[in-house]
Amino acid sequence: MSRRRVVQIAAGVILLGLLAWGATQLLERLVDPQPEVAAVVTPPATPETAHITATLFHGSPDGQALVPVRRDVPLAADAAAQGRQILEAQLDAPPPPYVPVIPRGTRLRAFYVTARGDAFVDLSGEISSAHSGGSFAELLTVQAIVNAVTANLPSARRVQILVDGKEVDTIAGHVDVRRPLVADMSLLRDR
Amino acid sequence: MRSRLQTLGLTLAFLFALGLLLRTQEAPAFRVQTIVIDPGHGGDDSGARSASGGQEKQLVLEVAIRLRTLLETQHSLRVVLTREDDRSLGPDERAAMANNAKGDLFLSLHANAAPAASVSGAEVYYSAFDASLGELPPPAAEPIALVPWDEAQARHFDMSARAADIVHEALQKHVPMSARSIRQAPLRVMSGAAMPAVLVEMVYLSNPAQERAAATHEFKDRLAQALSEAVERFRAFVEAQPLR
Repeated sequence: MSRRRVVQIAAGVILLGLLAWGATQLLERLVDPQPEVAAVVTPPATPETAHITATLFHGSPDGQALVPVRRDVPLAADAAAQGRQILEAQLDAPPPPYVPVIPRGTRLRAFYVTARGDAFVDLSGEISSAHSGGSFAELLTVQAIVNAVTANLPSARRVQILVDGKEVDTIAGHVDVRRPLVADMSLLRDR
Repeated sequence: MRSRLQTLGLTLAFLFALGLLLRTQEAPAFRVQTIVIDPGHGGDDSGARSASGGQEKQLVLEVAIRLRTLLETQHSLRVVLTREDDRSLGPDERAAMANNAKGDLFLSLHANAAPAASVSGAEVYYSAFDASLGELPPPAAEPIALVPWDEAQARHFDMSARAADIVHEALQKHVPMSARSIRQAPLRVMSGAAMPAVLVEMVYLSNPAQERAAATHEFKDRLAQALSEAVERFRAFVEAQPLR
């Protein structure tokens, strides 16, 4: 056997060895894949929640009128969700020195707006059971709710108040709320 | 020529005198005979409550009974009370009683409340109508007409406004009035009343000084006196209206 022939055989053996080693490595990877290295993901910076500035209506410090009060509320995806945000803010206790015109404990049960522009505000029974009574106090309550919706939602023209999901004659025995009401700014004052 | 002028003069004088005579004998176009007094709330519905426990339903009933006595004895009017004791009545029941009694004036008596204790004074309300619902129906000209229940008060809007003015003027002379003492509002109890209608908020029970005053006989008497004078002035106004 010539020397040249020996070198060729040796090179072929080395080549076959390398091929065998490569094939083995490949098979090992396929059968037992290595766990991926966990990527270090930096959580995206929390985007600042978008807000709108809504006009809410609270009692003036002397209790004689309604006063428009500006407050930031979260921006919502649609009119119904936005209306809920506005009404939740309206039902909160007012900041000093304003006085509440909606009984404490009143909750928003539902809110929606029809294509005709009639908004339905469904409130919990506390709006009636915890009300102080009196035509004037009741007018303040009704106008605060109606004005809060119509002043902030262009798609809402009129507001129907429901109590515990039902139509009612009045909230506390005086103001007729059987039908949707339009905004009434007659009890409004600057401050 | 001279005798013709004398004849003409005599004829004109005769016609003038005849006109005066007929005018004085003309019956009024409308008569006010029946007053419906509606003491607000009652039964389970106490209405406004004062800090010391005073209840609107009781106060308004006491004033209503005093007012009935004055109207019957001093002005010979027929008076109908929608309730004479502590019972619950819905707004439509009250209006139905007034309409069945063929009332000429509906007076609903209430006591007020406000979110601040400083608010005080009497207030007079008459109906407001939502402009978005369309025009007001024509005034009640026909004695018999088919009127939707909810439009009953709308037909009496002008007379209700005048009645509110008269009640307001009379109250001013006897009791403290609030800063905005005459108001329009869509008040439920008046909507079905087929007659001039006024709601009187006599006092703020949320005001401690007013609450103490309202508990006295003297204050209730003054309120009843003021309302009695208002009814008499309303009667004079209505009966002076020309025949249409």
